[in-house]
Amino acid sequence: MWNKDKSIVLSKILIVIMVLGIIASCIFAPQIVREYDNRVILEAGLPSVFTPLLVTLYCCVPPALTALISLYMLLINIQQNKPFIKVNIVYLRIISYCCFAGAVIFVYFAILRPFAWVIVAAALFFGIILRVVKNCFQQAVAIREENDFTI
Amino acid sequence: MIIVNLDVMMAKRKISSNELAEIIDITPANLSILKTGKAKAIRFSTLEKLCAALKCQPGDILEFVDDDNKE
Repeated sequence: MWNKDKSIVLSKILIVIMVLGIIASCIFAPQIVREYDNRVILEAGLPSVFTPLLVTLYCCVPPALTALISLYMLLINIQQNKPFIKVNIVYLRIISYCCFAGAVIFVYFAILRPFAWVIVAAALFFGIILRVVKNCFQQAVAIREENDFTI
Repeated sequence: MIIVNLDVMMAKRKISSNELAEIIDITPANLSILKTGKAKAIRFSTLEKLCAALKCQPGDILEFVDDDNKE
Protein backbone atom coordinates (compact mmCIF):
# COMPACT_ATOMS: atom_id res chain seq x y z
CA MET A 1 0.00 0.00 0.00
CA TRP A 2 1.38 3.40 -1.03
CA ASN A 3 1.75 5.86 1.82
CA LYS A 4 3.48 9.10 2.84
CA ASP A 5 6.63 7.38 4.18
CA LYS A 6 7.13 5.37 0.99
CA SER A 7 6.71 8.54 -1.07
CA ILE A 8 9.42 10.28 0.97
CA VAL A 9 11.72 7.25 0.64
CA LEU A 10 11.18 7.30 -3.15
CA SER A 11 12.03 11.02 -3.22
CA LYS A 12 15.19 10.33 -1.21
CA ILE A 13 16.22 7.53 -3.60
CA LEU A 14 15.67 9.85 -6.58
CA ILE A 15 17.84 12.53 -4.95
CA VAL A 16 20.63 9.99 -4.29
CA ILE A 17 20.40 8.81 -7.92
CA MET A 18 20.64 12.42 -9.10
CA VAL A 19 23.68 13.09 -6.88
CA LEU A 20 25.36 9.95 -8.24
CA GLY A 21 24.42 11.06 -11.77
CA ILE A 22 26.02 14.46 -11.21
CA ILE A 23 29.19 12.88 -9.81
CA ALA A 24 29.33 10.50 -12.80
CA SER A 25 28.77 13.46 -15.13
CA CYS A 26 31.69 15.27 -13.52
CA ILE A 27 33.92 12.28 -14.22
CA PHE A 28 32.75 11.66 -17.78
CA ALA A 29 31.85 15.26 -18.76
CA PRO A 30 34.90 15.79 -21.02
CA GLN A 31 34.12 12.62 -23.01
CA ILE A 32 30.38 13.38 -23.23
CA VAL A 33 30.93 17.00 -24.26
CA ARG A 34 33.62 15.99 -26.78
CA GLU A 35 31.22 13.43 -28.30
CA TYR A 36 28.40 16.04 -28.46
CA ASP A 37 30.78 18.58 -29.96
CA ASN A 38 32.03 16.17 -32.65
CA ARG A 39 28.68 14.61 -33.59
CA VAL A 40 26.32 17.58 -33.40
CA ILE A 41 28.13 20.90 -33.39
CA LEU A 42 31.07 20.29 -35.74
CA GLU A 43 28.98 18.19 -38.16
CA ALA A 44 26.55 21.08 -38.43
CA GLY A 45 29.48 23.27 -39.41
CA LEU A 46 29.32 25.38 -36.26
CA PRO A 47 32.33 26.45 -34.18
CA SER A 48 33.31 24.14 -31.31
CA VAL A 49 31.66 24.72 -27.94
CA PHE A 50 33.75 22.15 -26.06
CA THR A 51 35.38 24.51 -23.55
CA PRO A 52 32.40 26.85 -22.91
CA LEU A 53 30.04 23.91 -22.42
CA LEU A 54 32.45 22.09 -20.15
CA VAL A 55 33.04 25.24 -18.07
CA THR A 56 29.28 25.84 -17.84
CA LEU A 57 28.58 22.27 -16.76
CA TYR A 58 31.32 22.23 -14.12
CA CYS A 59 30.20 25.62 -12.79
CA CYS A 60 26.67 24.24 -12.42
CA VAL A 61 27.83 21.32 -10.25
CA PRO A 62 28.21 23.21 -6.91
CA PRO A 63 24.72 24.81 -7.01
CA ALA A 64 23.19 21.53 -8.20
CA LEU A 65 24.77 19.52 -5.37
CA THR A 66 23.91 22.22 -2.81
CA ALA A 67 20.29 22.19 -3.97
CA LEU A 68 20.08 18.39 -3.82
CA ILE A 69 21.64 18.22 -0.34
CA SER A 70 19.23 20.90 0.88
CA LEU A 71 16.36 18.98 -0.67
CA TYR A 72 17.51 15.82 1.10
CA MET A 73 17.71 17.66 4.46
CA LEU A 74 14.24 19.07 3.83
CA LEU A 75 12.92 15.57 3.23
CA ILE A 76 14.53 14.32 6.46
CA ASN A 77 12.70 17.06 8.40
CA ILE A 78 9.41 16.26 6.65
CA GLN A 79 9.91 12.57 7.47
CA GLN A 80 10.40 13.52 11.14
CA ASN A 81 7.03 15.33 11.04
CA LYS A 82 8.71 18.74 11.24
CA PRO A 83 7.70 20.37 7.94
CA PHE A 84 6.95 23.84 9.28
CA ILE A 85 10.16 24.83 11.02
CA LYS A 86 12.39 27.81 10.29
CA VAL A 87 15.31 25.72 9.03
CA ASN A 88 13.13 24.38 6.19
CA ILE A 89 12.57 27.95 5.00
CA VAL A 90 16.36 28.33 4.86
CA TYR A 91 16.65 25.11 2.81
CA LEU A 92 13.98 26.30 0.37
CA ARG A 93 15.70 29.66 0.06
CA ILE A 94 19.03 27.92 -0.67
CA ILE A 95 17.41 25.72 -3.34
CA SER A 96 15.78 28.76 -4.90
CA TYR A 97 19.11 30.65 -4.99
CA CYS A 98 20.79 27.57 -6.50
CA CYS A 99 18.22 27.63 -9.33
CA PHE A 100 18.94 31.31 -9.93
CA ALA A 101 22.69 30.60 -9.83
CA GLY A 102 22.21 27.84 -12.45
CA ALA A 103 20.28 30.28 -14.62
CA VAL A 104 23.00 32.92 -14.36
CA ILE A 105 25.73 30.38 -15.17
CA PHE A 106 23.84 29.15 -18.24
CA VAL A 107 23.48 32.72 -19.55
CA TYR A 108 27.16 32.45 -20.55
CA PHE A 109 26.48 29.39 -22.70
CA ALA A 110 23.18 30.79 -23.98
CA ILE A 111 25.07 33.75 -25.48
CA LEU A 112 27.02 31.23 -27.58
CA ARG A 113 24.12 28.86 -28.30
CA PRO A 114 20.66 30.47 -28.15
CA PHE A 115 18.86 27.15 -27.46
CA ALA A 116 20.36 27.27 -23.94
CA TRP A 117 18.00 30.19 -23.15
CA VAL A 118 15.40 27.45 -22.63
CA ILE A 119 17.53 26.08 -19.76
CA VAL A 120 17.98 29.60 -18.35
CA ALA A 121 14.22 30.16 -18.48
CA ALA A 122 13.50 26.76 -16.89
CA ALA A 123 15.97 27.40 -14.04
CA LEU A 124 14.48 30.86 -13.43
CA PHE A 125 10.99 29.37 -13.49
CA PHE A 126 11.90 26.74 -10.88
CA GLY A 127 13.67 29.38 -8.80
CA ILE A 128 10.57 31.56 -8.76
CA ILE A 129 8.28 28.62 -7.94
CA LEU A 130 10.54 27.68 -5.02
CA ARG A 131 10.53 31.26 -3.77
CA VAL A 132 6.73 31.18 -3.70
CA VAL A 133 6.80 27.80 -1.90
CA LYS A 134 9.29 29.32 0.56
CA ASN A 135 6.91 32.25 1.14
CA CYS A 136 4.10 29.76 1.82
CA PHE A 137 6.28 27.85 4.29
CA GLN A 138 7.23 31.13 5.97
CA GLN A 139 3.57 31.96 6.47
CA ALA A 140 2.83 28.42 7.69
CA VAL A 141 5.67 28.62 10.24
CA ALA A 142 4.27 31.92 11.54
CA ILE A 143 0.76 30.42 11.83
CA ARG A 144 2.11 27.29 13.56
CA GLU A 145 4.13 29.40 16.03
CA GLU A 146 1.08 31.52 16.82
CA ASN A 147 -0.98 28.39 17.31
CA ASP A 148 1.67 26.81 19.54
CA PHE A 149 1.88 29.95 21.66
CA THR A 150 -1.86 30.38 22.05
CA ILE A 151 -2.68 29.03 25.48
CA MET B 1 2.35 45.78 24.92
CA ILE B 2 0.46 43.39 27.17
CA ILE B 3 2.22 42.24 30.35
CA VAL B 4 1.12 39.02 32.00
CA ASN B 5 1.09 39.41 35.79
CA LEU B 6 0.19 35.82 36.43
CA ASP B 7 3.14 35.20 38.74
CA VAL B 8 2.08 38.17 40.91
CA MET B 9 -1.46 36.82 41.24
CA MET B 10 -0.16 33.33 41.92
CA ALA B 11 2.06 34.67 44.68
CA LYS B 12 -0.89 36.62 46.17
CA ARG B 13 -3.03 33.47 46.17
CA LYS B 14 -0.10 31.33 47.31
CA ILE B 15 -0.65 28.76 44.58
CA SER B 16 2.08 26.78 42.80
CA SER B 17 2.44 26.43 39.05
CA ASN B 18 1.73 22.72 39.04
CA GLU B 19 -1.32 23.19 41.22
CA LEU B 20 -2.72 25.95 39.00
CA ALA B 21 -1.96 23.97 35.83
CA GLU B 22 -3.90 21.04 37.24
CA ILE B 23 -6.88 23.20 38.26
CA ILE B 24 -7.23 24.96 34.91
CA ASP B 25 -6.38 21.80 32.98
CA ILE B 26 -3.37 22.94 30.96
CA THR B 27 0.14 21.52 30.91
CA PRO B 28 2.77 23.07 33.22
CA ALA B 29 4.80 23.82 30.06
CA ASN B 30 1.96 25.92 28.63
CA LEU B 31 1.47 27.67 31.97
CA SER B 32 5.16 28.48 31.96
CA ILE B 33 4.84 30.00 28.45
CA LEU B 34 1.99 32.13 29.78
CA LYS B 35 3.88 33.16 32.93
CA THR B 36 7.06 34.12 31.11
CA GLY B 37 5.18 36.28 28.61
CA LYS B 38 6.15 34.14 25.61
CA ALA B 39 2.50 33.47 24.71
CA LYS B 40 1.21 35.16 21.56
CA ALA B 41 -2.47 34.84 22.53
CA ILE B 42 -4.71 33.56 25.29
CA ARG B 43 -8.05 31.85 24.78
CA PHE B 44 -11.10 33.29 26.58
CA SER B 45 -11.70 29.83 28.03
CA THR B 46 -8.19 29.75 29.57
CA LEU B 47 -8.58 33.30 30.89
CA GLU B 48 -11.95 32.36 32.40
CA LYS B 49 -10.44 29.33 34.14
CA LEU B 50 -7.51 31.41 35.41
CA CYS B 51 -9.83 34.07 36.81
CA ALA B 52 -11.98 31.40 38.45
CA ALA B 53 -8.99 29.62 39.95
CA LEU B 54 -7.28 32.80 41.18
CA LYS B 55 -10.54 34.55 42.10
CA CYS B 56 -9.60 37.70 40.22
CA GLN B 57 -10.48 39.81 37.19
CA PRO B 58 -8.76 39.60 33.75
CA GLY B 59 -7.28 43.03 34.49
CA ASP B 60 -5.45 41.58 37.49
CA ILE B 61 -3.65 39.13 35.20
CA LEU B 62 -3.18 41.22 32.05
CA GLU B 63 -1.84 44.74 31.98
CA PHE B 64 -1.39 47.13 29.05
CA VAL B 65 1.85 49.09 28.95
CA ASP B 66 2.37 51.74 26.31
CA ASP B 67 5.66 50.91 24.55
CA ASP B 68 6.45 54.60 24.02
CA ASN B 69 6.04 55.45 27.70
CA LYS B 70 7.58 52.23 28.98
CA GLU B 71 10.28 54.02 30.96
